[in-house]
Amino acid sequence: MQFTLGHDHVSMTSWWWYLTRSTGIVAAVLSVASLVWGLFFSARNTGQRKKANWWLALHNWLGGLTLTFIGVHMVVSLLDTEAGLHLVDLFVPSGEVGWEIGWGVIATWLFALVVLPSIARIRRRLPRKAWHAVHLLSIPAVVLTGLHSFQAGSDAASVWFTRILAVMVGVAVYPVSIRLIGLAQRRAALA
Amino acid sequence: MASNNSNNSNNKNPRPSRPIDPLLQQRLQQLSSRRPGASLPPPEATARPGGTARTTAAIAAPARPSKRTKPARGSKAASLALSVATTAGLAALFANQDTPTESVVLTSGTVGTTATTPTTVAPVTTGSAGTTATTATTPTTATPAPAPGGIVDGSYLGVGSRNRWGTVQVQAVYTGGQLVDVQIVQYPNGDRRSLAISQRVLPTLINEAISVQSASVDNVSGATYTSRSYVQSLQSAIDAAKVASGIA
Repeated sequence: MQFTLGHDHVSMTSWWWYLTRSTGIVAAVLSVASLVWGLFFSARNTGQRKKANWWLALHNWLGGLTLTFIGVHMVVSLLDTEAGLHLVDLFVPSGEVGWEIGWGVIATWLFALVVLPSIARIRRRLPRKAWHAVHLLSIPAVVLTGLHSFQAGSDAASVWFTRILAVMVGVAVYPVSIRLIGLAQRRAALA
Repeated sequence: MASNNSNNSNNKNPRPSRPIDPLLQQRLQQLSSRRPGASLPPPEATARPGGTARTTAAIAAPARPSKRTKPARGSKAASLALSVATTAGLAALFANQDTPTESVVLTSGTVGTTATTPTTVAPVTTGSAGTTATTATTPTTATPAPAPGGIVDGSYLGVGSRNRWGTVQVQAVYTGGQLVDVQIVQYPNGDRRSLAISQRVLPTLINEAISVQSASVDNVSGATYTSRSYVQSLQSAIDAAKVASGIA
């Protein structure tokens, strides 16, 4: 025996939950895309078809878009009253709501630290080494994003999510490896 | 002769250079400092006096955004459109997959005096009657010991109650006409957060149901869905017990 109400009776609370999931997924994909674009650009592995300024501009854009979608993800998760989150939970990681949420909060702060100082007006005032050190926080930010989505995501148990996560990990690891290999080769050449 | 004249004219009126972007200049200086012996030509920030009319007109006219100053405009717009479309599409897909939350889906289960063995996750059970089981236990098909007007001893499996986080299904155990234990047959554990909530909330709900001897328990804060589904499933188990005992 099975009965349900019609689909036109889906409540607003449910839509907030659907948007929380979808914006979270899109934000995670954008974060990986931005990281990959930045790594390819910094390794000068940009190919011949597009100029370097195209890569840099798109990398900056994707970073800003990531932060925007993270903001939307936080807002809709707050509007979803059934999720049981309060405003302070979105900014302060704690064990009360669970560290699966806390990883996401820390990742958000790291992304804000990475993206905001990269705005041209702010970046010109920063020493390059300081800016670069802060910018490297994007890598742990992406790792924490994956951890947050795996532990707190409603879709984490589904097969397609696992496959997409595996693809994203592979896509992110490849340019990191190229970058590290390039750095090692450069140091060997200078030595 | 003509060529010499043209060369002389070029030397007298050299083509003015465009101003160099300060960021690019800074980058060039950094690169040159790394290579010993390299030197850069001095930047020419302004046009020389006696420049051509074309230079004056170029300075006076506002610079149009070119591909160099606004690169990747198409790609930016495409990425934004794709992100928004993907968000909306995923939300619609999730809405299509899920049933409405205000209607809890009840799936049929085996309801009767002899309940089937739980086949899913290990139940989280504690009972004030002293039964503390952390693993799935085979429900006993106890010989009915009907108390007058009471519920026949035995285990009664309730229907599975599905919510956005998963399914909750319980089994009510009666001894001497009293509810002595509530075994959890299924509970939301698809992700770590749901698992943590279930493990935190369900023992409280079980204890409360045993103390009040009914499914009228309060929702636990932060676990509304799990509480609601628990109540639904337990109520169906109690109803089945009453039916089996001949109680209206």
